[in-house]
Parts: sequence; C-alpha cells; structure tokens
Amino acid sequence: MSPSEFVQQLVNSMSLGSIYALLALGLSMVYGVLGMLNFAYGELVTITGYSMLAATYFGAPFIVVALVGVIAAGLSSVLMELVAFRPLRNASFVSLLFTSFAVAQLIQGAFRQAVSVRSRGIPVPELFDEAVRLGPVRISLLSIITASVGAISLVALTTFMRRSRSGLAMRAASQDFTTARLLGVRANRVISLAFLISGLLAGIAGVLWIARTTSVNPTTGFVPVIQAFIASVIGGLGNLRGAVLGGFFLGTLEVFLQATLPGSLLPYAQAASLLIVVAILYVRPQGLFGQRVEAV
Amino acid sequence: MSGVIPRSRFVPAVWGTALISLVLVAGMALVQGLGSTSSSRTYVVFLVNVMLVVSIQMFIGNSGIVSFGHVAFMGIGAYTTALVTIPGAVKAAQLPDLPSSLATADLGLVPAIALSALVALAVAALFGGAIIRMTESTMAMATLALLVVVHTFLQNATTFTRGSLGLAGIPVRTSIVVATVAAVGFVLAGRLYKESGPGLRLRAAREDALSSASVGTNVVRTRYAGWLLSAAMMGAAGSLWAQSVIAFNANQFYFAITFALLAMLVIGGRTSLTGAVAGAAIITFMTDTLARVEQGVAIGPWELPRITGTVQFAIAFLIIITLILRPEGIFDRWEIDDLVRRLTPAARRLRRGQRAEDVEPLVPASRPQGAPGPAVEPAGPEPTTAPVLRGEHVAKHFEGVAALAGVDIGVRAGEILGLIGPNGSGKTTLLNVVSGVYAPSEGEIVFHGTAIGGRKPHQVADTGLSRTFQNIRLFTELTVRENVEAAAPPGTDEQAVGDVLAWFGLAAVEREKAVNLPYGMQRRLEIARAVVRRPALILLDEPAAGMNESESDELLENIRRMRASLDCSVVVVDHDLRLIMKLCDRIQVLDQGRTIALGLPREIAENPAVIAAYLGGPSARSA
Repeated sequence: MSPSEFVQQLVNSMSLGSIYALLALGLSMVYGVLGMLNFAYGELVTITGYSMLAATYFGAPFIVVALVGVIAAGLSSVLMELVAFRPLRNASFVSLLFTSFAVAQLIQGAFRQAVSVRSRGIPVPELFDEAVRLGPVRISLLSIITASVGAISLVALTTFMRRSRSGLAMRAASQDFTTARLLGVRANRVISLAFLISGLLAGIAGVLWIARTTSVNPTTGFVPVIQAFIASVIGGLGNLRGAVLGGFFLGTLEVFLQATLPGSLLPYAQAASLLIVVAILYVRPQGLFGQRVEAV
Repeated sequence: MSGVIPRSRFVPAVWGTALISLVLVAGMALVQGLGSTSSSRTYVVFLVNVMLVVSIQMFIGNSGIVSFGHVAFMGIGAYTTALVTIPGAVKAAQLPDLPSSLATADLGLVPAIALSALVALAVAALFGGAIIRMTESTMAMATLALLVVVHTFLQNATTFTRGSLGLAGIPVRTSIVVATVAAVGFVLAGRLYKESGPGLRLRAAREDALSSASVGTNVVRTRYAGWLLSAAMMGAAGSLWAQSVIAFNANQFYFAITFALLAMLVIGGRTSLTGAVAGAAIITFMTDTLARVEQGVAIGPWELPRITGTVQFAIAFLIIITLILRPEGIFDRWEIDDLVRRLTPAARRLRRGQRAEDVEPLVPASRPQGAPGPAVEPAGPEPTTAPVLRGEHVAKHFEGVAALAGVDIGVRAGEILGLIGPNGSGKTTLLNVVSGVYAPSEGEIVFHGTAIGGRKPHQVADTGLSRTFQNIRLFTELTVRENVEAAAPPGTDEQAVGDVLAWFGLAAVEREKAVNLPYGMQRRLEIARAVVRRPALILLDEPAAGMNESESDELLENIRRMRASLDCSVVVVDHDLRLIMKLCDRIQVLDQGRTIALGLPREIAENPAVIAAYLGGPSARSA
C-alpha cells in the first residue's frame, strides 16, 4: 500500500468509523440508562431510509430529505419505547432483548408488506461522488462530509451531556438509576430522552449510511446494527467513550481488510473482522476500553 | 443414573419426560391414524422443532445467557449430514470439486447424526473457548458474530455447500417414528441435564454467579460444558432436520429460523422443557395454518385474498403479547410434573392449610439422628493451636484508595473470631480478599498451609472455606433444597442435605423457591448453604443484620452449634455488638483499613482506641 493510498484509506476509515461510532453510541446510551440491548435499533436506520424515500417523492432538496430522515428516526425511537418497552419496564434483561427482537421483526415485516422486498433507490446529490485532490491523494467528498458530520455530532452530544441539566441527569441515571430517581430525576423523562438521542444518532448515521448505499430495503438496518453491537462490545458495553472508540476501531479494521484482502477472500471481509474482534475479546473479555471487572 | 442425580430430582424428571413422551406418541398415533400426508409432514416439522428448541433451551434456559448463534450449529449439522448421506452420483453432479473422501462417503442415519454432533461440538469448542468468559450481555452479542461468521462461510465455501443454490437429494430418513423417538430422546436428555449436578450448578450460576463461585462452582467451566452439550445436540438436531427436508440452502440458517426458534423458547417459557415443547407446538401449528391461509382460502362465501408475510407478523405479536402478560413465558418455571403434582390432594391440602411462616420453628430444636449438632456444650478454643487462616500485611487498594492498609489476621482452629469496626473500616473487603472475590494488592494469605491469596473464589471454596454475604445472595428462583444441593460438594448424599435442612428448620419448606421465604429463613438458608460444604472455616458477613433480639439470640445458638458439630472456625462480621460480645472468643477491631485492637471481648470493651473509633471522640493516639 503506497503512502497516498494509505492516507485515502485512513480517511475512509474515519468516515465509516464515524458512522459506526454514532450507532454504537446510540446503542450504549440506552444500555447505560436501562441496561437494555435494543435489537430493533437497526430498524431505525431502515425507518430513516424509507422516510427519506418518502420525502424525495415530494421533491424536497436533499438537506430537507436528510432532516426528515433524522427526525423520523428520533420520533420512532421514542415511540418504540412508549409502545413496546415501557409495558415491560421491570422485566428481565432477556425478556427485553427478546421484545426488541420481536419489534425488529415487526418493523421489517411492515416495510415488506407496505413497500416491497426489493431495494428502492434514493437519489443523493452528485456532489457526493466528487473527489478532492490534495497532491497525490484523492479523497471522496462523501468521506469528508461523513467524517465531519460524525465529528460535529459527537462534539454536540458531548457538550450536551457535559453542560446541560438533562445531560447531567442522564449521566447520573447511567451510573445508578435508583439513586438518581431518589434524588428527583424523573425516570420516564430520562428514558424517553435517552431513546430520543439514541434515535437521532441512528438517524444521522442512517442518513450517512444511505448516502453511501443510495438505496433502502426492509433489511437495510441489519448490517449497521450488527456493527454497532460489535463496536459497543469492543468499547465495553455501556461505556460511551468506549463505544465511540470501538466504532472507529471497527471502521478502520473493516476498511483496511477490504483494501488488503485478495479478491477471492473479499466476501469474508466482515467475517474476518468479526473473528479478529472475537480474538481481541478472548484476551480482553471486558472490551478494549472497558474496565476489568474482578471476581467470578 | 439416579446415583448421579438425587432421587428428589430424578423421579420427577422421569415422570415429566414420560408425560411429555405420552403426548408426543399419542400425537403420532393420531396423525398416523388420520393417514394424511400433509398432517404427518407438519407433525415431523413439529418434532424436529422440539429437538431444536430443546437443544437451545439446554444452554439459554439453564445458563440464562442468550445465544443468537445456535442456528449456526444447526447449519453445520445439516451440511455435515448432507455431505455424508447424499448418494454419490447426485453429490458429484452438485459438488464436482469435493475431496474424494467426502465424495464417496455414505453414512446411515445414526452415524450421520453422531458425526454432525461431533462437527458442531468442535466448532462450539473453538468459538466457545473465546467467548465463554464474557459477561452475559457481551456474550449475547458475540454469539451474533458466530451466526454471521458461520453464515458467511456456508454461503461462500461453495466447494462444499453450493452456497445459496443449496444441496438436494438427502435421503429422507427422519420418518414420523424416527422423529418421535428422537424427540423423546432430546426431551429426556434435556431434562436429565437440567436436573444433573452440572445442570443444577449452571442454573445456580444463572441466579447468582458470584455466590455460585463462592460455593465452589467453576462458573466458566460449568457454562462451557453446557454450551458444548447444547451445541452438539443442536448439530444432531440439524442432522435430523436435514434428513427430513430433502433439499436446503445456506440462507436457511440465518435470522428467520433463529427468530422462529427463539420465539418457541420465549413463548413457552425458556427455563422449562415443557414450555419448550409447548412453544414448538404453538409456533409450528400457527406457522402451518397461516401458510395455508396465505395460499388464499375460502371461508363460506368469502374468498380471502392471497397474502404473504403474515407468519413473521404473527410470531412477533405473539412474543410481545406473551412477554407483556407473562414475562417469563407461558409455563414460566413449571414442568409438567409440577403441574400434575399441584393437583394431587396432598399438595392441595398443603397449599390451603399451611404457609411457609407457620411451619417455621423458632429454634431448630430437634436434631435428627446423624445430623451435625453439638455433642456437648461448646468449649472454648485451645489457645495453643496454630492458626488455620493466617493473613499477613493484607492490603487492598481501589484506584488509589486503600480499603485495607496492611492487616494481619489469624484465625485459630475452632475459634469464633469477631471482626468489628465502623462502616468503611475494611471488614467486608477483608472477607472478600480472603474468599477470593478480590485479589489482594499486597500481602499473603495462608489457609491450612496453602497460599490462597489471589486465587479465584471457587478455588478458595474448594480448600474448605465457606462464606455468606452481607446482602443475602441466594439462588432466588431455585428451591430451598436446590440451593443447598447446588452448594454440596460432589459425593454428598441426599440424607446429609436433608439433615442440614432439618437442622436449620428448613425441611418443611424445601420445595419453596428461595425468593418466597421470609427474611429470617433466607438468612438461615444462606448459612445452611455454607454449612453443607462441611468447611473448616466459615466467614459470616453481617448474619444478624435486620434481626431483632430474639432472632439474634437464636442465630448465636446456631453459630455455636455449627462450630461444635463441624469442628470448624468462624469469622463473624457484624454491627450487633451484643451478639459479638456474647459469641466471640476473640475480637479484632478494624478502623480505616488497619487493625486498632485485638483481644478478648472484655478487653475490647474497655479499649480506649476502640471506644474512640466507635464514638468518633478523641483520636486513639491522644486518648
């Protein structure tokens, strides 16, 4: 790999990594507050895709289409919690996991019935295909946009969590929900807020994902949710900073495997990166960035 | 078999399996009597689903860890069987590049099943070795990775699998009779494993991994054994599945079937085998009926239009509704034999007449013959004996905070040592370091001549050291008897377990779930669980917490008896100074991670440093 190629792949890694980071962050946020793994998280990306599709039928410009996608994901996430998860508030981890699994299947089935099993194209600005030349290095504009949007979102979220009262309440809740409630943090509000932020993150990541794939189908959310799960596990489940780092790590791993594997092995790229992650977890069961838990 | 599994669990297991078998065989007879091909095909599908769900239940149900990856083992089993059973010419036409050993392989029903189980076992051993030490939620994620990785291989290793084109021509050997016999075998294996020692300890670890380790269970190894067994069964079930479908392709071993199988497990109740069978029945027959509806049916004069995708919807709705109404599934933890037993007159009388509290004796008065108990009034320790437990300069730092700043501890044979001190003085930390929950940052701990500092809790427990926890940690969803049995060392007979239960006044409630016991009984059960291990040293962490004066007197009596009958030493941490002063031979006082006093109760009561530490008065030095 030549140095210029390396720089190109590095930018691609940052771009893909920032999508994974946003997704893993959204997943970890809900896990931190509720101790729940939301399997239906990938469906928020799918919802983003179909909302964007609907918005393009009205001839809206891309920026509006993207906003519609993000807002739809945020609202769907809150709605999902209200309808499906709230009735099971005190259920076990496993029951909640299975419920979210069922919700995912329900949403997938709905799109299959209402739209089609086949992929629908979503037009994206031609601008995304253009590339910037910096000497010998050629970088696609989409990668730069993706990485920047990812970075801006992460900074915005960090500021919100650090500076705002609601952010403080959420951080407290993820440390110790019972105590936080005793101190006057309103449980339902914090949970709804966590799902809203989680959904908005999925929406932003979804728009960036759709901009790469330029199409949507009922199972669009599947790959992103698996990657988000894996990224949050590498980062140590529930650890927000770990989730972001895990996302970037997974993105880098995938881009460089794609670039270096010989053609005949390319179909195995995702499997290979998963195996590498499992190998890492063998050495560090608590994740790359998680705290070691003693005992047992 | 009953030698390995105590009668109290073996007999119900056999009854339960017999009742389920009766239903399965009756179903078979009914279907054969009907003589319709389609209903007999549906019934085989149901029986194969029973095998698959029972295999998954063995791991998920008993360990409480969700696996999304078991369908990978099913796929591995199915492909293994296809490769060794498809007739040579048919195989050569589909897979021309197959190595000759496989190209000519032609195995019968049973060898094909055995080989499939072995291949699945090998993959499970490799992958499981990497993920089994993770926490529950992380491991659930990692099993997803297993499913994706195996699916990728099945789809792309076309030399062996033909990927999404699939393989055809597998001889149909899973007849309705074979399927019925096999399903009965799977249910029996699943139930016997659940009731066996390893199965019980896996269930105990599901309830509380730490206290399970503290009674000597190697949690990781127990989980690994369950994982391997369950994967091998899944491989065998996959083999029987393949021999019932003629043709299949790689895409079948992915999310659709994972979802359907998990739905069967969740709807029926994941901890119950009866639930697994019921779940398989519900989902199979619902899927079958909906598949017919989707073809477009006429109800009277109305012609319903053809629709697709209703199955996925229906299953998803069923899961959500079941979980809202019954979060642990329809059967929850009930097995069919429990349901039958509930209907017997004796059980009805018990339910109507007596509640757990009513049969609770205040003092475990009568000690059955041969049970541990005091022969004479407890004598004090002989002062010259060497310490059984010796810790020197034991220190524990948490991110710079010294919870223990170098403590010496010596417990003599047969003595009761009290450990007191203000909150945060390091008492519980010391117990945790000694019992292996934390590795000491510094210092050395020797128990019976063995250095135990830094060993894992189950290793420490195996050296003859038992403990209880400050906040009771029982195996809440197991019965009282199972709580004690899960802690009993191998070779403990049923009588010994019964004696310990009787001694602590728990015999009458031995079938109750631990979580349903009143608080005092829960405390006693935790001590009983430690005692059944016949330890040389017992660590009691705040046993009198929340007890009134008479309860704490009863506890004092119990601890004395325990010491005398087991001939063991006891370390008691408590804030109940009245109890400590009456009970203990010597008392050690900790403050801010250091020992500030050690001596006879009388000496401690008069020690100015102790008084200062407790009352927060002038410091020890200035006093």
